[in-house]
Amino acid sequence: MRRGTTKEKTTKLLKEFRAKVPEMTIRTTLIVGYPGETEEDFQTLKDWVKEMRFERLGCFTYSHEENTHAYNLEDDVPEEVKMKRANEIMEIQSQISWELNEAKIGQEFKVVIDRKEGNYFVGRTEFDSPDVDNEVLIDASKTYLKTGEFTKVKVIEAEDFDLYGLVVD
Amino acid sequence: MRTKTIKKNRINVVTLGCSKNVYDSEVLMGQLKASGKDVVHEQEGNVVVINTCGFINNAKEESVNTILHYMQKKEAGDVDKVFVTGCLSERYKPDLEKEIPNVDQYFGTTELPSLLKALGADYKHELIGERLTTTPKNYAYLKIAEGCDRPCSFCAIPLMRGKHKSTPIEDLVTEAEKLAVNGVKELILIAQDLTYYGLDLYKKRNLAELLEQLVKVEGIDWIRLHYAFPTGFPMDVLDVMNREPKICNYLDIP
Repeated sequence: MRRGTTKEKTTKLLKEFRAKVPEMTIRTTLIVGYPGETEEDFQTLKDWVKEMRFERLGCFTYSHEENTHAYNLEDDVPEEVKMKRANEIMEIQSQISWELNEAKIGQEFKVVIDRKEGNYFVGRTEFDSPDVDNEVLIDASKTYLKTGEFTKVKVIEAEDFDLYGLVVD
Repeated sequence: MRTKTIKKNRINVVTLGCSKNVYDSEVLMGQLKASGKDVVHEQEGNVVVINTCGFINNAKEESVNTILHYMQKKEAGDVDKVFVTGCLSERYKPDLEKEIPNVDQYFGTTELPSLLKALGADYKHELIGERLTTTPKNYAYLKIAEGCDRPCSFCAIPLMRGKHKSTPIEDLVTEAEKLAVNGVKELILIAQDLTYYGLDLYKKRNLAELLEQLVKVEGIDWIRLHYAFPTGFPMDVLDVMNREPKICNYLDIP
């Protein structure tokens, strides 16, 4: 892929990140269905995703783009296989994300309130970027919060990707 | 006596694709406002500017459909003019001009001054960091570089965004200060490749130094890092992350 790195080097780098900044939430994005990707390659990717346990993960299906280097290769993984592989990766990730979220129940986090949606104030921790990452939902019938402000929240419930919380005084 | 009504143009900017495009739309809107134009983001306006994405198939399709949607509105007389800018038109301008010729004009990613001219505004170079942000007021994107020197086989971005060009630290600090004055508490650092920051301008990877300067900006509580390519990642960034509570313990690695 001409990324200037290898599986081994990336694994080593990620382990270094985790060792130096243990609290770090890592987000990454994968491509499935790159030209020539075999079932065996895909299995390697799945195993790696399970091993790395990324806190946040996205997955693209390969798109064959003219004037790129890979355009010289044959786009030989069928679209439905690409989709299936992307879904499989996201299923694995849902489980990992749920486990990591479950572990947060009872913990307190500084949360910024981005907006109010229906009966919830929607916030984020420092481990979440807007639009792409997890959100913290706070029951708006029990608490009034100002959007744009920080507040301290205790996590009371976890889903695959989102958390529910109560404001801590 | 006849009275003449002069209809005032309202420019509606529509943004597709990634946060880098959001940023570019905000710069465009800031420039338009500075020229006294009435400008809105994804609302109603009789002049439409579509900032397109040309990254992968789905995104290109969405951009083309959006152009077609506004062409229908133009034909129905609901809008007067439609301009197209951004990555799709940078990459496919000749094709688009042929396939959808009724668009008033197409612009590439480096043609902000000409786009402004077509909209009756002047490009003002001195407006560093004067953006009209479209995100909730507590956070804003800060684009620290444009373009990408990585040769990744699958990626079309360098075709549309050119070579890596870092924005100087002092300009970014000025921009961050202005954002903070307007109530922004969280800066989300973006570029095609954050890791490469500084190599062109300072002859060294300089993300850590930039972060050291940005944490001094009053009013900013969180600084978040996106798009940090793994190859050549400057490990001193981790020291700053550990030392400075304002730097979120967060890293997005493409």
